[in-house]
Parts: sequence; C-alpha cells; structure tokens
Amino acid sequence: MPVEKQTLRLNSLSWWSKNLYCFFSCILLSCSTYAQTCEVVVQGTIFDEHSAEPIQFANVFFEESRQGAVSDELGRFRLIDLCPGKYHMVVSHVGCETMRTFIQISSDTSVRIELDHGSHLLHEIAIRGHHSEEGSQERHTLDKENITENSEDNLAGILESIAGVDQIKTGNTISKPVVHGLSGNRLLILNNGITQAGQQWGADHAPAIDPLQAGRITAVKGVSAVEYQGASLGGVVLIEPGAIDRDPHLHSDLSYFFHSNGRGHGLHTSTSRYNERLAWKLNTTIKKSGDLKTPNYFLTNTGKEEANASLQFERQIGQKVKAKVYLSSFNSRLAILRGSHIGNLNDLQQAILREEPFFTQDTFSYNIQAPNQEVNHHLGKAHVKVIMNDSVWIDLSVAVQENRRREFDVRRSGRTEIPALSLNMQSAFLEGKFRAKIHEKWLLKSGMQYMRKDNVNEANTGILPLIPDYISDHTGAFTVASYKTDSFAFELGARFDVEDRRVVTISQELPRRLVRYSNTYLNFNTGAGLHMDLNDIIGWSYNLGFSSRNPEVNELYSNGLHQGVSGYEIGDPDLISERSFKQTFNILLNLNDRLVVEGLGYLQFVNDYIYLNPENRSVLTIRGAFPVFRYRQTDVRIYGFDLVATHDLNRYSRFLLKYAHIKGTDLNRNVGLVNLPSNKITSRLSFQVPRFFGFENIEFNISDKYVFRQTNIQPWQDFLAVPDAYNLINAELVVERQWKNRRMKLWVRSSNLTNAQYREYLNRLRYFADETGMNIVAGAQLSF
Amino acid sequence: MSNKIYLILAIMISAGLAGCSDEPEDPIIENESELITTVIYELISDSKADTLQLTFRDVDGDGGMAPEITADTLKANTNYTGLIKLLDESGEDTEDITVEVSAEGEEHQLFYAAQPDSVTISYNSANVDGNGNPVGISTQLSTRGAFQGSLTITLRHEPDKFADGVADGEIENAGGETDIEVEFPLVVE
Repeated sequence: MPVEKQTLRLNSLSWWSKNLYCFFSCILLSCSTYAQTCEVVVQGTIFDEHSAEPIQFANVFFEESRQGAVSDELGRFRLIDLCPGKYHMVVSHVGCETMRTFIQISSDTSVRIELDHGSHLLHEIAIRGHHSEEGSQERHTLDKENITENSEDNLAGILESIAGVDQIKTGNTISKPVVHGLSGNRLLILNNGITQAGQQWGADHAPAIDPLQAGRITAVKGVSAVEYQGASLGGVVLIEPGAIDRDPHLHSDLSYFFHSNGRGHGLHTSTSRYNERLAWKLNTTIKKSGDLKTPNYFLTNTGKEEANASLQFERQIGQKVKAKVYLSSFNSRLAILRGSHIGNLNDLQQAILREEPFFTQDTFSYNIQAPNQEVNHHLGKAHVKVIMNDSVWIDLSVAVQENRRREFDVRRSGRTEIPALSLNMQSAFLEGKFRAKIHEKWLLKSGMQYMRKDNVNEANTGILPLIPDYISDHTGAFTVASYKTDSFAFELGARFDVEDRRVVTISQELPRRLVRYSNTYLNFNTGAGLHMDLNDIIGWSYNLGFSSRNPEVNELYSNGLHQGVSGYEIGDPDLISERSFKQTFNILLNLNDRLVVEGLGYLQFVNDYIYLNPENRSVLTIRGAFPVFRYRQTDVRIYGFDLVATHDLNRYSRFLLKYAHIKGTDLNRNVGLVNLPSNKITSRLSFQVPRFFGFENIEFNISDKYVFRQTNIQPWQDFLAVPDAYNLINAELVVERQWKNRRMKLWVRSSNLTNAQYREYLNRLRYFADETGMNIVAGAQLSF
Repeated sequence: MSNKIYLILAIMISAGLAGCSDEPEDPIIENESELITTVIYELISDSKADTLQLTFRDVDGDGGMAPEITADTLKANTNYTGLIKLLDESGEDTEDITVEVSAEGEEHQLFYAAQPDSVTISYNSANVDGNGNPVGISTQLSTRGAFQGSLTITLRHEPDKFADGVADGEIENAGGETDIEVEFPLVVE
C-alpha cells in the first residue's frame, strides 16, 4: 500500500508563534487509496502537542460539505462520504481560538492534528514548555478568544483576569494596567514590538491601545526585560497583532456587542486574505457608550466613544526575507465623572461626605461634556526579517508614532471648549536584532534600539503647562544568551541604555521666562533565569534581575495644582535614577492529570523609589490652601505571591481558584506603600459540553471574586478611609455554531450579578462615587 | 550580507548620536486668561464717610510668592454696601474678571461667611442672574458690636443655585467647584 506523507504548516507561523494557543503545529496526511467519487473517508486523531495525550471533545468540521464530527476519548474522529476537493477545515475546542485551514483532499486520508491543549487551562497557568523561546520569565497570554469575549472592556480590564495583574482606574472608562503593584512609568507597554510612546506618567492616562486590534496580549511578570527598550521595573505588557491565516480566500469576522450598563454598543470587523505575494488584514472597531450606573444612581458624564483601525501587510520576498507593514490608528473621547471636578480641599471634603456625587442627573445620557479627554494615537511600523540560514536571522524595524492628548476642564466664559492640557508627542523608533542558534541548545540574541521623542505643549490653552516641552534621544543595546534542553533552561542577559533629554520649562516667578535643563542618564539592566522540569509533576523556575529607571519629566519638573487630587505637586530636578532588584520563584505542580497548581512568589527592592510625599505644609492660593506634595525618594520593598489552581472535577466541569497577595513597605519610614492593589481571591466553576442541539463548544462559567480591604496603609496616608472589602459574582455563557461556511459565536455575561454597592481602593474616583452596578454583556461574532 | 547589517547598525548608531544635540523650540508662554490674582471686597458705609477694602493679591498665581492679604478695620453698628472686584493683575494690563462672572451670573455665585457670626451679610436684591437668583457681587453688610474674627469669601462655578438655602447665601448644598476661596481677617471696632 503506497503511503505518502505530507507535512503541512497550516498557519503563517512566525518564530514566536510556538507560543500561540490552539494551533495545529503540523498535520500528517497519509494517503492510501485513490477515490474519485464522494466516498472519501477522512479520519484522524487529535493530540496534545506537549503531552501527546489524546484530546476529547474537539469539533472538526468541513465547511464545503457541512460535515462534522466530535473527537472521542481517544481523540479520534471520522468523517465519511466526502467528495474529493478543496475544503476549509475548522477545528475548535472549548476555550481555544478556533482555527480554520484550507486543505485539499483527493483520497481517503488519515490526519494527525496536534493541538496546543495546554491552552485549555487558558491564561491562568503559565504553560510548561513555553519558556523555550521567551526565556524563563513568567508570561501569561490572553488569546483572541479571551479578547473577543471581553470586547467591551479596555486593555487594562482584559489583562486583570491574570493573577498578579490589576488596574489603577480613574472612574470606569480610564484604566491602566498594574503588574505586581507597579504601573505607569514603571511598566513597559509594547504595541507590536514598539515601545508605546505617550503620556504614561498620569494616573488618568490610559494606554492608547485597542485590545481588539490585537491577536494576543501577554503580561510578563518578570524581573528585568532586557530585550525591550524602556523601564521595565514592573514588568512588560506585550500587544501583538494576530497572524494572517494562510487561506487564499477573503474571510471576515464580524462582531457586535452590547452592554447594559452604559447602554454601550460596539462593532468590530476583521478581514483578511492570504496570498503568496501579499497577505493583508484589516481590523476596525467602533464603540460608543453613555453614562454608567452604580446600584443607586447614574454616574453623570462617564460615556466614551472610540474609533480604531489597523492594517497589516505581509510579503514574502524570496526564501529568506519577510516584510511586514503595520499601520494603526486609535481615537477616543472619554468623559470623566462631572462630580469629580473640584476646586479645592473643601470641595473634596464635601464630595466625600455626600451620598451621591454633585451634578448627578436622574436620566441617562450619551453626552460627553467637560471634564473629558480626547486621545489619538497613530502608529506606523515596517519590519523586515532576514533569515540568513537555518540558525541565524535578523530583524529590522522602523516605526513612527504620534500621540495627541487633549484634556478639557470646566472653565469660564466658553473656555470649556479650549483644552486645558494639549500635548503632542511624536516619536521615531529604529531597531536591529540579531538571533543565532549556536549548536542545538544555545541561542544568542542581541540588538539595539534607538528612540527619539519630541513632546510639545500645543499653544493657546490659556493655562501654564503641567509638564514641559522636551526632546529625548534614547539609545540602548542588549544581549541575551540562553541554553535549553527538554527539561532545563537557563538564560542570562544584559542591557545598557543612554537617554539624553533637553527640557524647556517656564518659570514660576514673574516675569515668566524660559528655563532650560538638559539631563543624561545611563541605565543598566541585567537578568538571569533558570527553569527546570524535575519530572512530569514538578517544574520550577527562578529569576533574578536588576534594572534601573531614570526619573521622568513629570517627576522632575511638574509644578502646579493637580486639581483632580487637590494637591500642589512639586517636582525635584535633582532626583536620581531608581534601582530595582527583583527575584521571582515559580513552581508548577501537575499533581495528576486533573489537578494543576502554580505558585509565583516575588520579592522586589527598589532603591530611591520616586513617590509623591505629602509635605507638612500647604500652599495658599486664591482657591484656598492646598497640601503640598513633593516628589521624593525612598527605599521600598514589595513582595507577594500569585497562586492559581485548577481541578478537573469530571469530563464536563472544572474548578479554578486564584489568589493574589501583595504587600509594599516604605523602608525608610516603615509605613505601607500607597496605591498598591488589595489582595484578592477568585474562584470559578466551569462547565463545558462539546455539542448540544446543534451548538458547539458550550461553556458556562460562574465566578466569585472577593477583594480584601487594603490594610497596609495608615489613615493619615489618604484623604478618605480605605474602602471596605467587597465580593462580586459573575456568570458567563459562550456557545458556537457552524453553518456551512459560516461560524457564529455567541456570548452572554453578567458582571456584578448581585448589584453590589462598593468602592475600589485603586480607583481614583473612590472619593466621589461608587463603582458600577450590574452589567449584562451580549455579543455575537460571525466568521465567514 | 552581514556587512550590510553592520552598515545598517552603524547608520542607526550615528542617527542616534546625531539626534543628541538639538534643543526643543521656545514654547509660547501662555497668557493665563482665566487667572484671577486679586480679590477686592470694597465696603462703603451708608453715610459715604468711609470706604474700606479687604484685599487678597497673588500676582504670580498659584505657588511662587505667597499672596498678600490686607484688611481695613470696620466700624461697629454700621451698615455698608459691599462690592466685589476680581482682577487679573499678572499681565501688564489689569483685566477685570468681575465682568466675566457677572455675564455668566447663572453659573456663578459668591458666598460670604464671617467667623464668629457677628456681622450680617445679605445679597443685594438688584444683583441677580437671569433666573432671579443672587450672584453676590453686590452685598449689604451690617456690623453690630466690636469683635475680631475672619471673613471667608467663596466663588463657586456651576453651583446648584436652586438647591436648598443657596439663594440665601448658604453654601452647604451649592456644589460646583471653587474658583475662589479667600479668608480675610475681620476687625470691627
């Protein structure tokens, strides 16, 4: 019997997609007999890529013939009476990104499909074996499925599902990710490999990134990310576009969602086509929502509008060169709770005493009025990858970004229409990276980056700028060496950076004059990691890193009233760089096939940690007296652990438990560190059914999240007592359905089911209003 | 091929270094059109015999030099007509901001609070906005016996002027945000 074997690469894998969840790494086709009539049999087995265990309950479907099957407990499936021809084959499994591929069938065929079944654990557990390309640092990835099912949320909100990742919020429209307690200037955000250049310093400045444009979002809870440019004391968030499926036909995903709280609507489209010469993908998103509601009242002026698009091109040039172009545009208008706009400390005290905020309206509205923000972020990137030979390849990237931020305040005499803050940051980025495999087990990565930022306050705001104009040039180089066998991995890396910055500030005294500063900083990062799988049950990794971060312009030169927090903030031009020393220890226990436990402990010391210190004096202004906050430095210690356990109760249900613990201390004053997340515990029960009344991959989750009271800080460290602990119950149902060549996914979710009234410590508007009440989200995605 | 790579890297380095010399352009120093630097509460006795002033002046705006506060002494058992003047004295020409506040009367209200409560201050019924609510630029002040205390004058932007007691000068339910809150020493002899 002639046996012909073929290996097909079914999606456009780039070097990193080894880490992609739920893809077919290869399919082996064994052709035995030839048949020209519609009597072809396709049978196959679906295995876990890592453990080689069979996967039960995967759905296989041939679109053109509308034939489908579900894999049995040995991972086997069988389709009969197929006609020879070309087919779109769809393989889906609960919680995995559905993959669709184009294959040609001419005879009876036996298929071996290797699924990355580790993804079955979703993002909760760092998958074993995923340390390969990415080093030994803990990374947790959210795939397209996770992102789609949370379409209504923003980047930080989606990331919050990862243990150890929190969000710091200004109301419910503006939020920033926090990794192991650090955010803002200390957290590196990379959009498509490019350091996001924007106004990261403000607590009310959300990253200008649309998560729906991304194929996957990764949080690296690491110690020192030497490969990337920028400060990474607190970890790294990577936003990467999805690969373009290798399908020569035009395909689209169309999704719509609605959320009841805020009466929001959103529409997302993704259209792609693959061609040997040119592959492309277009993503668009529009979102609009109005006033959110707490259990008892509307949060007047909390709507938002967003319109985003991205366009990807890929072209293979010869065997060795692959070129990619990526263009994206993010545009948002965000309203900020009207009742949170205050003039002085007395206003704040009054607002704190009130049951519901001032300016609360009885009726819902989509209107966006002052105070509000308009943010635009545009990115253009070109990337060329040159494969020199089997073991050496080179990446070159060029990118330009423009970030425009305008903030509007309630002002006199029609000036509300004039931005109170108008910043424009333009930046250019160049990167060259070199990767070489030395022998089989060693990998060497080296490269350098250069970034130039030009930050300008646009004129005619009628208000002296909060942060000055500046130009900075940032050049850095890194090297990482890693060694890997099946059960052992080691890596060592270092990075050196020079940042040169020229700043022009405006004097406080009259007559106003320009004062110029220039500063040069050297930063050094280094990290080492070890990963070991002792046996099938225990795997562990240890990472140790040092990194430094130079003070940012807001910390050095801000001087003025920050009305939102009723403080007079004074920068200090003499601040020195922060130096962080962090270690993490991660252990993964695969106790049996049904119980998996992962624990990550971390300990970080930051010397000369920059923070806003309430000074023992006030400044008298025409609006009254304001407490003075000055940027000062201290030594801090942050430690904590993230614990995740999943237990398969039976074939259809699973229990998940997640706990995050964190504690930060100012070692010089021996007090708690402010603005750190509270400890929290989440438990979730999931039920999954592969097929039911024509629906596939049915999944139902019910979860409970308990957030402890932040007991680490003293009453004098805040204007208002720390909010109480709270408990939230959420439920979610996801189903899929296939019709010929169309696939539909439907989801319904309810968050805060009990309509609990609560306030969150990391929400800056906790002084003014409660958090939002019950919300029901319904969404549908159609793929064709 | 690898020579090309080194060339590209060399270009990148030199581009990086070449960028390291230029300075940001001179920014435009904003004319702070909205700034109020000076509050003058002028009191004219009913007999027109005395004209007194309570002034708060902070010409460089928030921060910088401390504000200058002066207050004339009031006479006991006297009725005064009070008038507020709000000025921007930061620029070369003094701007009268009272005009802006007056023009947007529906969005503004001044509040007066003496400590201890030994003088009576009431709104001048002629100084009202389009809804007939007081703006509070013009007031009547009556002293009783001699005392030493303080007077706090507050200007609220976008208060709820229809809320309970607000039209009578009670600030508690007014809301809005504070544009001015100045405290003067108050001496009645």
